[in-house]
Amino acid sequence: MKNARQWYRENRVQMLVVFAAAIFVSLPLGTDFVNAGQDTAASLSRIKAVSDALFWVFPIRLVPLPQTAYGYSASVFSADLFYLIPAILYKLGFTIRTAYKLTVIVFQFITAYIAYFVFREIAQDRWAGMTAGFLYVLCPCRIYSIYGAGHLGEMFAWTFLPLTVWGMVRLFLEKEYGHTAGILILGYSLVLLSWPVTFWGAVISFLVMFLLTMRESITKPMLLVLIKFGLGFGGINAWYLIPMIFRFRDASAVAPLLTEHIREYALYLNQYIKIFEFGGDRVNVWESGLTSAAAVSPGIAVIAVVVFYICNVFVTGKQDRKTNKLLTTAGIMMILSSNLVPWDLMQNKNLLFSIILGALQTPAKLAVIADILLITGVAVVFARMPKSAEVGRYAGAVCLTGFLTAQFQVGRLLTTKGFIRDDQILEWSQIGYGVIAQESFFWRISEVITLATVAGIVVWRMTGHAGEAENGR
Amino acid sequence: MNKTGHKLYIFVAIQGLFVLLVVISFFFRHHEYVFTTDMVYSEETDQEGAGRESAHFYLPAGSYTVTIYYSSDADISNTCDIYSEKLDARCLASSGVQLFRGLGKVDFDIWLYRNTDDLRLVSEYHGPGNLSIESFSVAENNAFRGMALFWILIASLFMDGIYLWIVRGRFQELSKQDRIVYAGLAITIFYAAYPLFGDYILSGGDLVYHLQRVEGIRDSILHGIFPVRISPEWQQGYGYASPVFYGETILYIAGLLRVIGFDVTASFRIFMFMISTATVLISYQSFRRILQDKYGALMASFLYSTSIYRVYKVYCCESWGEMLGIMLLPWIVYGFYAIYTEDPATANYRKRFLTLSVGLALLIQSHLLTGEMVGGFTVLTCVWFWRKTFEPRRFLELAKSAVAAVLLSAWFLVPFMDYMLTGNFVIQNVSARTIQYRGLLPAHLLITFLRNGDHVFIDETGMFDTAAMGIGSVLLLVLCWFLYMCFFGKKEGLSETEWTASKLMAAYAVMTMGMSLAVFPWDAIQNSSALAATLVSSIQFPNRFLTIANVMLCGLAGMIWKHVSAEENRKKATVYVLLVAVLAVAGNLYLLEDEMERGAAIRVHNDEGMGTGYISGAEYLPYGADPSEFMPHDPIASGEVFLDRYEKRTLGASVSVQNPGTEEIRLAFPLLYYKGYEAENTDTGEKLSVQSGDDFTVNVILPPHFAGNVEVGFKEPFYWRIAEAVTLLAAAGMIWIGFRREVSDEKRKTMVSGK
Repeated sequence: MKNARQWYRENRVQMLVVFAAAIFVSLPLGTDFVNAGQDTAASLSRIKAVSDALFWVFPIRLVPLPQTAYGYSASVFSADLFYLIPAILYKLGFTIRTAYKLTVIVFQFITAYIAYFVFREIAQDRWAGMTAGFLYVLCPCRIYSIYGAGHLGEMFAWTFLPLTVWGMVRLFLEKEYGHTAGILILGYSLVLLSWPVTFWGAVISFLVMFLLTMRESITKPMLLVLIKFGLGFGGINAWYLIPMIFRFRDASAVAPLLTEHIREYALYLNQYIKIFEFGGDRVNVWESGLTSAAAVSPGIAVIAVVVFYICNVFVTGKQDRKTNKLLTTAGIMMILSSNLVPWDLMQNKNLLFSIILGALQTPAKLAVIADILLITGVAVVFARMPKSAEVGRYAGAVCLTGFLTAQFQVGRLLTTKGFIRDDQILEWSQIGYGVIAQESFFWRISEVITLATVAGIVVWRMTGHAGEAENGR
Repeated sequence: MNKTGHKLYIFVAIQGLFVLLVVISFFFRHHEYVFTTDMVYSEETDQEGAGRESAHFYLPAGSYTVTIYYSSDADISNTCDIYSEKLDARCLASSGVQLFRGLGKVDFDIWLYRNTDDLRLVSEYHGPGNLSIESFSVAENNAFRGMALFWILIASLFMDGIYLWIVRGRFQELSKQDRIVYAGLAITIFYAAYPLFGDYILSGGDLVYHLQRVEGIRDSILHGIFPVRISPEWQQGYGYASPVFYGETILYIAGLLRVIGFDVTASFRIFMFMISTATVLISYQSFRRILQDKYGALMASFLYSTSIYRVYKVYCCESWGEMLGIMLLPWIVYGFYAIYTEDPATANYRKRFLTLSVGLALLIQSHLLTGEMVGGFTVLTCVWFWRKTFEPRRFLELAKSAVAAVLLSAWFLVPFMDYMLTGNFVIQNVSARTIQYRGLLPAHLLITFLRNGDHVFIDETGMFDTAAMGIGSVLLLVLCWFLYMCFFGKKEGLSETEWTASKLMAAYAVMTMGMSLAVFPWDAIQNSSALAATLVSSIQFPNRFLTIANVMLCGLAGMIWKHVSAEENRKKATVYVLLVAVLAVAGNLYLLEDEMERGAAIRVHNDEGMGTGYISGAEYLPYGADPSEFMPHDPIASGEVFLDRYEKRTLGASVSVQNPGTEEIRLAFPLLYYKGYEAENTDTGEKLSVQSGDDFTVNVILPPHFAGNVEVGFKEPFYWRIAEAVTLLAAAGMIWIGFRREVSDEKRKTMVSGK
């Protein structure tokens, strides 16, 4: 308690700034409508379906629907764990709109808290953590997910993504093994249970960073962390993962296999450096180029800091390994999300490729991961700057830029995007997800595995074994 | 030899090997596949929009020419294309082809980036009458190999350059300032070319017209015609003499990219990137030499290359002529600045005319209208500084600049003047067209967030969705800051010469901003004389004067930087840079992104896909010609003749013809008549008279009882050839002067006196 108070006292100013960003980014909720995004119907219907299934089936798993007209998220086999929050609120008597909005508001603050906490830990600097946290909360790609696409699942995933990056940074860049397996299990599990598409992107970034640091980071303690992470993660999420793996026999039963050419949904790299996000929602950028394209960038403030870092390396030759690795991983994720990669060569080839493409949904979804890595890079760049008054001014300028560009984007979303009011919200939430009530034997086994793993971890933690072995100290 | 030398040789040898392999591949057998098909449409059985497709066939990745043999009763409406369901449009680049009733065969190029087995020829019927696709062939061409060779050479040059730069220690020798400037230039180049990093073209008003000009260069070069005087395939193969009236010198780069094998979109993007990069580098170098300050030049170059006016002209309007004018203006400004400000006694002063004359010559050969404006302001400058103008040495340099520019442009100017003096074209009949109503409102010059709007006729729509015709608030800030400096007499850090130049820049900027407004009495000026009417009418849009304001204010921005950075109080410099940066982002970059947000993306691969009929304002048509009548057909005789073995060629045709009658017969070919067409009986060598027909087509006069093989074609008059030789000699002479060492007057005196 004393520690918590101390932490609060030390970090209250920074927390206040990041929470201010969360308040600002919640402004579109101060309306009597919901923005009509391409995934809004699926999100609202999931709330309705989960709410209807409460108290008569557990765990609740929804049957994916055909993609037609319901948005890309409709056909994903997702855990829907966090949909329990709006579903319960709805059950308690709130309207779907209120339940939806309350959930978004709550998650804005959770996001702000986690982002600040994680970036501060990674940077080991409060102001750097504040800057990165502020930019993360106001990230245009995230704002698009919430208000442009109306994608609740992806919004949940954005909340927990920083934990996955924290785990990666500790494992590969800082070589801190104590509690790292726990952070990784927690982060990846929460992201998986939020939205599997984002989870697969996070897995790819994990592999990329592993490959980039392999030569220096493969050590016995690291392998031990990896094993613990694998076992813990698999065990905790068995209730959802095992059914998903079974469903992968028909990849289209897990995620939409785009009948169109998947490369058309990959990005142009210059989408990452857009300054002004105009509130567009086109995801097929082949059709019309960048006309009304959906926001995927981390924000020009982030890009400016990254460009500043690169220019500084060019001018002064001063580099930082941690920043380099983070930005390189981000760069690779950016390229993977782009149409420079011949994704079409993987389409309609075999089951494995279909599974990969189905799991990723579209290459553009990797932009979420690239963005958080870039923002983490910003945190480290600020932390490495020599301490002076100028750094504070830079941080202020960066935050101001992030605020103004977010202001522009939110303004455009509110003033140009279609919306639905209560009567339409009810209509939109009726697309009729089925609930899987009759579970197979293997599914039941998977639930038992999850329970056993959770129980095992709790017992292990309570008996005080956790820190010692992981630390290797 | 040291290790580095060995490495370099191995490196170069590997590159050479790649080049050799690609070159050898040019001589490999080119595969050709012939397919028969049975796609028959008729008005009775098929509705408009009906489509049929051939059997599927396999092709390996490569570039191909598809030739279709058909008969059609309609012009343009029916189309054919190659299609694949498995491949996305990035992997199969084709824009199809339109069919004409006067032709039995058409061909077009496709670029196939994956092996595929589900290709098919797809035809679409829109009537009227019958359509029958009989067969088609697909023949491999060299486009892929050409593209590979191009990229290998570019990559090799780039890598060798970087390697040598680093190995020879040049990178380490760079000062911190230079490194910052290089990084700044890289960012500037990126933003100047920002919309080009998609894989499409942003559509703009004049785009198709300029793409047709490039196609004209490509078609001519591929048929061994050089220089290009008439674009041969334009207007369904009738030809259009745009190159005579509208210089294409710099456009040859784009034409060559098409000749190499790039499709229309790729060559457009590469060419535009080159021009954007050149704009940044030319403006930086010019402003650096004027300002003698690298940071100031970088700021001026950034503001110039991303300026509202440039973005509007380059990306919103696709006005290539003005785009090239914008590229060259800083060069010309520096040319004048050097002549007027340098000491005539210094070494190399006698070479000062080179910069100006090359700039002026390229401007004349790129955009005469900008040249017209530069001409006007040149006269004004000469009068303003009349004392300096008439200093013998300076006057000599100015005169040399003018003469050299004319000589360098002789190959363009002589045909231009020839047609203007001896012909009667649409462009000579537009002096009644007024421009004042097209002028801007003062509000246009004060807006920060200009958008890519559609409307340019202010009298009709006011400011509603107005096009981005303005200078942006960042340049307004520059002007206001300078007025503040004038008001308070602040000119620290600027020499007397620079202060005078700054005042001139500001004055010209204000003047041209005024001239761009609808309140400026253009109509009165136009009505004052015939010459004024022609000149004023040719300007078309008063907002074009903003091109002068733009370059002047960007130069002024650099001057102000020089002033504020020289002051002891650094706060002022910081405030200035911050304000400029914020307003540049808010105005210039906002417009760039808005253009990308709202602009229509188009992808054209083979030129046939965009048609050949668009000629914009038709300014270069013979006066009275109706371009809608220009459709391919066999020669049409005014009486009874027997025709055989007719063949349409590039800017010409041949036919075996017999006139059994006792009267002269006019034989009209599907070619638009311009001075220079000749006809000959190749059997006897007899020259035949060629005239313009009533419909402005090429008419050959066949004498009574004529029989023989007639060949008609375009041939440049001999004096055009002389003009080309003059240009070549002038260019050679200027290169020689450029490389010759000069000595200063002081040294010369020393040498003469033998000391």
